Amino acid sequence: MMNKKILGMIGAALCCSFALSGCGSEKGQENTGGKTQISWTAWLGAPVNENADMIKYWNDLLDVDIDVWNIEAANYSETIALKIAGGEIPDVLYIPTMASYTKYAKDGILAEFTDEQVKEYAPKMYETYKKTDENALSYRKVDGKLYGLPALTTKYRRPMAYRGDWMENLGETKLPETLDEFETLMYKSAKNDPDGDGTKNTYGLSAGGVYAVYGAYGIVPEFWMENENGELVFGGVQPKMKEALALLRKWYSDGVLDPEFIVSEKQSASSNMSTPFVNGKIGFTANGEDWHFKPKFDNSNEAVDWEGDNVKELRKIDSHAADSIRLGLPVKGPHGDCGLGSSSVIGTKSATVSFSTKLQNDEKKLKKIFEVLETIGFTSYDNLLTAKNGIKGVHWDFNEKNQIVYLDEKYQQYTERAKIGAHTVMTTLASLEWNNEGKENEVEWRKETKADYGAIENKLKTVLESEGVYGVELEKLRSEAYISIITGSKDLDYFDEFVRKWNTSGGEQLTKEANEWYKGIK
Amino acid sequence: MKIKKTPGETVFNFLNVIFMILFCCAAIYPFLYLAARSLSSADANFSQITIIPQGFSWENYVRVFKNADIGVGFKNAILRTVVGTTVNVVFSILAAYPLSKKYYPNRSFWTGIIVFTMFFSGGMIPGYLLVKRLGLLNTMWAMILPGAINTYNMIIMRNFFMSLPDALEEAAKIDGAGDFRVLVSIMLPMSKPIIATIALWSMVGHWNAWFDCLIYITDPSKQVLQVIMRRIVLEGTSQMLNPNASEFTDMIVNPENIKASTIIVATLPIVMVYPFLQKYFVKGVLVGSLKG
Repeated sequence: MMNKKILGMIGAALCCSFALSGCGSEKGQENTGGKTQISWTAWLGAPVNENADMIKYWNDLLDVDIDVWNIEAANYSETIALKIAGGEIPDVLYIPTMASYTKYAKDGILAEFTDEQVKEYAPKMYETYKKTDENALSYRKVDGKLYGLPALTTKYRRPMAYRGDWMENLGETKLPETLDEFETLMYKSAKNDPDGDGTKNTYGLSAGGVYAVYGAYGIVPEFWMENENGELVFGGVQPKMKEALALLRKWYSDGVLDPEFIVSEKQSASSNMSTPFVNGKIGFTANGEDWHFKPKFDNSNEAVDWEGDNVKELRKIDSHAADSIRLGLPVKGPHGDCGLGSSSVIGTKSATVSFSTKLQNDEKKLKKIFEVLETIGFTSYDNLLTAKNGIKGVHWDFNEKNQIVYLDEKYQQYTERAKIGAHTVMTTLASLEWNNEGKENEVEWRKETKADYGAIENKLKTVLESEGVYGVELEKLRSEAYISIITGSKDLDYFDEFVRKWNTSGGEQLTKEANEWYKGIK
Repeated sequence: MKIKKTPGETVFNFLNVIFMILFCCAAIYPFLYLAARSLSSADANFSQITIIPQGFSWENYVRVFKNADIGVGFKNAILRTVVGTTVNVVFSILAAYPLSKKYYPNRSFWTGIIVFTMFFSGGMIPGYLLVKRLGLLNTMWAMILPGAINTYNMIIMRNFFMSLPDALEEAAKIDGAGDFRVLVSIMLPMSKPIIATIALWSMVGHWNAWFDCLIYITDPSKQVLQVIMRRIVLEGTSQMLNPNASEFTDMIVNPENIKASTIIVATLPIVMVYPFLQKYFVKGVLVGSLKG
């Protein structure tokens, strides 16, 4: 008995002492030898070597001393949280998710700055943000204060990818433009043996394809959209969704919708490829992004170009089929709606770059960091190219077609570029304006396939306060409701009950918060 | 006399064997699949389930072994496993032996304190701070010292020592042996099964560990094989998705076949240790589980 008591006390004492030691202060890094020392974090494809070429290059050019923290990208969030808890906050803090950004901002570990400061310290960067979206910086405001700069990402819409060889076999030449035409093609794909093997083993569409149907009703179920009163509403509970589900329910019972639509078309999270599409089970998909279906361009900005994963994998099975893939446009629904989900240039999924709270009172250093960020990402194509690929003439060079050729073949792999401090190490924040530089074929392809046509973006560009509380539960409720309606295990009218449940289990609160936010940025 | 089996027993045995075979197949299939992939040529299509390599080639392995990181990782992993296992075994013995002696003062108190750590730990953050303040960051010791004694293994070893007859020690002492001589010359030779078992567990643990390396080691030249393998395998997966990859050429990654051969290369060495230690293993687990 006695032993146990002592034991418990010792245990408690140990716990306390550990907890207390966690609060110990860190000695700050001061400027040494005139060069501003900057500790730096980013998404790293591979750990950066000591004395990496590119870090040296920027250090010399910008008269700084950058120290990149090698934090594994796959476990970035937990590892950085550990370091922060241990009192180590990098000057330049890369934050991959909006949720942790908001949390850090509220925890007070980030330096606050103003729009004016951005404008003054980095005018070109400021201009780029303003050009991209008037509200670009406002999207990163937490309780009205700015703590971070959003990364810009290229916008990609879901594809409308058809198997051209199937369409040929079915005697169709025109890609569907309306939902009715689309329905006809889907039925034919399921019923008329498009692969010509004499057995009924095909379907029209699967988990990815249903988004084309939702889109024809103007809805992306996961996104927030603006209604006619200028308010934000959640796509998944709109009345039009009921119509879309009714149609899918019919397709399901007619054997047009793949019964496996409840699982993702991706075989693994790693893949950009739609497994049923490549395996010839379905003839249409809206899974992924359009570039997963891109052909190989012989005139890209890099000398070595690749086919999109779906094309590449399909080619292994059937080269003719791979060449026949056709990209269509979102189809028009009965109410004239037409669209398809797309990513946002600045969305909740884009990363944020913040600064250690130590810089709050070190304006000189903060200014220097802004200068570094601006010079690398926002001043010229040459700088950005250097930051991403290495030094021209040392790591790569242009060939006679003005394409990038790596002087050492290993640099084709992004991990090797990351090791020398190129790739994404310095370019979390970068302008998109030179993205199409030297990619004529791709730009042409995008124009031809009207890759941006009907793209629907999520109107909500922040993480709502109560999302952590209700988010998971509501998501479960929603997907279960959809599945049971489509598969017929519940009546169509269950949709109304689901909407009611959605609202009462937190949806109402989210809608309220979403609109508060929306008013704030308007 | 041979006991005749009842029909029920025959059926039971039959089903048992079938079940075991199915179970073994399920367990070994992922390995065979990976092995098949790792021996396939680059243009093989693996959307169907198979265990036969398509377009046999060693190309993937050649590329894996040409990867300088793998070499560095291998070296570090072997070093860590050898040093780590030695430390584990030596310290476990030195802790377990005294605790197994009935005449050791406050024996149950000390055992209690040690067992306490099995149920309560400081957690990751204090652990990180400790390692950092000890100046162990970026050294191999950060991966070895915090787990120098695995409590569970140590208790098992203590139980084994307790099962050895006290008379042996008495006899040795009468012949003039000191405590160390008793341990080294009498007890250890009799404890080979348990030492082999603990060593095997420790070896597998060290070989497969990656998380401690991930958080304590930032110097690429000191990372162990598992971390490097993991990086290669996760390339291009959603866990490694770069949220700000604005150009899709960034996503060019090692093909699945290379990933498969990397996994095989990282797994095979430790799998090959098993046959050598297996005979001790079964015995060790059994005897170690004696009374508490």
